[in-house]
Amino acid sequence: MILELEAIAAGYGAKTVVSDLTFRVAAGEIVALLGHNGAGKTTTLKTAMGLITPRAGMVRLAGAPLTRAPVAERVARGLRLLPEGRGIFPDLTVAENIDVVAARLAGRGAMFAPADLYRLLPVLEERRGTRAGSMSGGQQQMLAFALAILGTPRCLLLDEPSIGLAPNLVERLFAEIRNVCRAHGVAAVLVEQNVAAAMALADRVVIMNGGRVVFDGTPQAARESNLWEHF
Amino acid sequence: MSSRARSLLAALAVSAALGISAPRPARAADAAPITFGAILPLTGPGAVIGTEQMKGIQFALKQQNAKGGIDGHPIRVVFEDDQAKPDQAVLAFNKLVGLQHLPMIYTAYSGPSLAMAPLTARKHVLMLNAGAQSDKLAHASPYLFNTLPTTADEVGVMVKYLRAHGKSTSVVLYENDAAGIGGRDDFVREFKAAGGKILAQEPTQFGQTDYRPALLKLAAAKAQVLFVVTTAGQKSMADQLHQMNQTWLVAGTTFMEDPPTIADPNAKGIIHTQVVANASPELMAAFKKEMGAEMGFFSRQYYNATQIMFALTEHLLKEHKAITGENLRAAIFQIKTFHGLVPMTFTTNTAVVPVAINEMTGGSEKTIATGTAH
Amino acid sequence: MLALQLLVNGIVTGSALGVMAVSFALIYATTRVFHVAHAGVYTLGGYLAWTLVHRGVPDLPALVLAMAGCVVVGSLIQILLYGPLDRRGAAQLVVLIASLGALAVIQNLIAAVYSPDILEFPPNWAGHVFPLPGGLRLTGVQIATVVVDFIAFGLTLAFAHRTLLGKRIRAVASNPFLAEITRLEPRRVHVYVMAIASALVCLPGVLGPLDYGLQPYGGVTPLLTATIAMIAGGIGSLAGAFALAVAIVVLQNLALLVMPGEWSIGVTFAIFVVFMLLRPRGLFAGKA
Repeated sequence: MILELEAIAAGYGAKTVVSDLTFRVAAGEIVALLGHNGAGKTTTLKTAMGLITPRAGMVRLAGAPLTRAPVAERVARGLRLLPEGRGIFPDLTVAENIDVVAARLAGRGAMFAPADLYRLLPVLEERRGTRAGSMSGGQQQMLAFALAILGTPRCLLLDEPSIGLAPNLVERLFAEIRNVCRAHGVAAVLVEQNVAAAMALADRVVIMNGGRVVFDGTPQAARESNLWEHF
Repeated sequence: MSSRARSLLAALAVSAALGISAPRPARAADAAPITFGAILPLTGPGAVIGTEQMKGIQFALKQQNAKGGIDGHPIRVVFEDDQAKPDQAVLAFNKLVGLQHLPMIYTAYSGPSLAMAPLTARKHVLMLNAGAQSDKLAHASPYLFNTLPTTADEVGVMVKYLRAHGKSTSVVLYENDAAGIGGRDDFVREFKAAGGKILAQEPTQFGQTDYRPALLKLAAAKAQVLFVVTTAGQKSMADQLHQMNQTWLVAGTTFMEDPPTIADPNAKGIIHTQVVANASPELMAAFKKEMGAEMGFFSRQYYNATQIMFALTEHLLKEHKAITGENLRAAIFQIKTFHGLVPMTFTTNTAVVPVAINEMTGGSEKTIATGTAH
Repeated sequence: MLALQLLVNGIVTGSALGVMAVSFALIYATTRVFHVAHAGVYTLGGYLAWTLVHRGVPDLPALVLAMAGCVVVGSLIQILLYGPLDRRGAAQLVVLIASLGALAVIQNLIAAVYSPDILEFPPNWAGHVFPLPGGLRLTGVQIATVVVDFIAFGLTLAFAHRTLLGKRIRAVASNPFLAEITRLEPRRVHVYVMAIASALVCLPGVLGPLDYGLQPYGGVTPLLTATIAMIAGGIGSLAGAFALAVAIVVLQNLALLVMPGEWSIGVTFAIFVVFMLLRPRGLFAGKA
C-alpha cells in the first residue's frame, strides 16, 4: 500500500466532515474518489496531504506513519496534491514555475526533471517564456499537472483536474495522467465531477457520502450496482 | 520596615532628588524661610526644557542658601508640573496661591502664562517669565514680568541691523505653526515699517527638513535677505542653502543658536539674533558639578531670574516691608536695573536686554553687532 | 533653471522613497502584512549608522553594519511577531495593529535613547557641492542617494527575476497555497523577505538622514508616500512602486512652480485619489 487512511475523523472548526473513513491506495493504482458536493472528498485529500490534522485515525505513506508530519515531509516522500483551480504560480513564467519547484523537489535521479516535462508536455516547451496566468485554461492545467509530478511522485492527489476544461482537453489531460501512472508506477487518487471520464481512467472506484465510504469496488462493479443511489 | 518609615524615606529621596529640602548647613538660617512657587512643564513634551529651567532655579537657591539665605531667611521654591498645558497651569496656580498664599510664581510657556495672567492681576501675585517670548505676554497683566524680549523686540533688532546695512528686499521662510507664523508676522511688519519690501514667503512643516523646493522658489524672487523662522532642522537647511550658492544674506532668530549648525562649515555667513545671557566659565563648571548637567540657555535664564527674585526680597526685607505680590512688583520698578548674568532694565513689564547679532564662521560664531530690544 | 533643479531634486528624493516603496511592496506582496513597522526599521538604520560613525567607524562599514542590524530586527519581527500570528490564523487587522505596536516600540525606544530632537551627522562629504552643467548643483549625499538607490532598485529587480531565491519569493507571493504544497516553505521565505527588505530600506534610512538629519518619528511620512506609490503602482509590481514613488515626489516638487508650498502635498495626493478612481488596480497591476 502506498497510501493508507485508517479510521480518520476530520473537519473544520466544530464541524466534522469526515468520520471513520478508511481508504487505501496500492502502488501504481488509480482510484476515482466520487461523491456529491460536501461528501468529504476534498477534506479527505487535504487530510492525506497534512493540510488538515485529523481528530482521530492514522495516515501512512508507504507503510510509514505520517499522521502528524508536516506538509513538506509528505511532499518530500512523494505525496503530491494538484489543488483545484490554483495549481500554478500565475505571475511567473512557465519556465520559472518549473524551475522554482524543480529546485525544491527534483534532485539528482528524480523521476521527472524539467527536461522530461518539456518532452512529455511539448506545449510547455513552446510557452516557456509566457506568463503562466495569461495562458489558456487547458495550458494552465497542463502546467499544474507538470508541477504536481515534478521530482519523484509516488501518489498523486488530483482535486477536480478537469474542471473548466473543454472535453477534448479533458481527454488529453487524462491521457497524460494515465501515461504517467502506468509508465512509472505512480498511484493516483482522482476526485472528479466528470464521473464517466473518471470511471474510464480508474482501476477502482470509491464513493463517499456523508463523510463515509459507501462503495469500494471496480468500475465494472460500480456500473453494475445501482451506483447513483449513493449520490 | 513600617509603611510610615517607607513613605518618609520615599519623601526624603524625592526631596533629595529635587534638591529643595535636603539637610544643609543652616548657618544663619534661623529666621523663617521665605517660599515662592514655580509652575513648569516637568513631564510631557516640554519636560526637557522645563527640567533645564528648574535646575537653573535650584542651583541659584543652593548657592544663596549656602551663604545663609537672605538676611538669614532660607529661600524655598515649591515646584508644580503643568505639562505646558494652560488648564493644568491654572490648577497649579490655585494650589500655590489659593492654598499656600505664595507671593511670586515662576512661569515658562506662553500658553500657560497667558492663562494665569488674569489671575495674577486679581490675586496680586508677581509672575516671572524667563522662557516664553510671545508678543502677547508684554501686556497680558501688570503682574507678569518678562526677562526675555518678545519675538517682536528681538526681530526689531535684526530689522534695524539689516536696514542699516542697506538691505531693502527680503523673502521669508517660516515654520507653519504658532512660533513660525508669529515670527514671520513680526518680521514682515517691522521690515515694512522700516521701509523694506517683502518679495515672497514660503511655509515649511515642523520636522520636515527638505527645504530645497521652498528655498528654490524663494531664490527665484532674487531678494537681498532670506529671513528664516524655523525651530528645528537648521543644519540641514544650512547645507541646502550652501548648495544653492545664493548671494542673499541669511538671517534668523534665536532658534538658529544650534550647536550642530554652528559646527557646520556650510553654515558660514548665516547671521541671527541671540539674547545675551552669558555665564562665566567658573559658574558653568560649578553648575555642572552641582547639577550634573550643562548649564544650558534656559538654566541660565532661570538662574538669572532667581537673582532678580533675591534682589527684590533683599530690598523688601531692608525696607521692612512684607513680601507680598504688590510690594515685589513695586520693587521691580524701584530697583529698575538688575545685575544678574546680564544687565537688565525694567521700564515696562518686559526687560530691556542686550540682543547680539551673531555670524556663523563655519565652525564657530562671532558677535558682529549688539543692540537692545525694546 | 528653477524647474530643472526642482525636477532633479524630485528624482533624487523620489529614488530614496522608491527603494522604500519597493521594499515595502516586496513584504506586502509576499507576506500580506501591511508592515508599518518598516518605518521603524528605516529609522533605526539611520540611528545605528549615526552611532557607529560617532564611535569612529568609517562611513561604508557603518552603513554595512547598520544594514546588518536592520536585517536582524526585521527578521526578528517576522519570527517573533508576524510568524506566530500567521500560524494562529490572525486577521489582517490584528497583524496591522501588532505592526503599529512594533513601530511605536521602536520609535519610542529610539526617542528614549537618543532624545526626540533632530540629530545631525557631523559635517562630512555629504554636504560637499558639485556644480553640474545647466546650472544644476547637487550635494555629495544627493548624488550618492540617486546612484545607490537606482542601483539598489535595479539589483532588486534582477534578484527577483534572475535568481532562484527571487523566483521562489515571487512564487510564494503569487500562490502561497501552492508554495506550501510544493515545499517552497512560505514561512521561511517570509523571513528571507523581511531580511532582504530590511537591508534595502536601510539604504535610504542612512542616506536620507545624512541630508535631512535624524528624527525618531521621521519614518512615518516617507512610508505613507511609499505605500501610496505601491498601491498606485499596482500591488505586486516592484517597478510600478518605484516609478510611482519617483513620480509623486517629482510632481510635489514641480507643483511648487504653480502653487504655494502648503498646497503642493495636498494637491499631489488629490491627483492620486482621482487616478485611483480611474484605475483602481494601479498603473502596473498584472492582468491576472
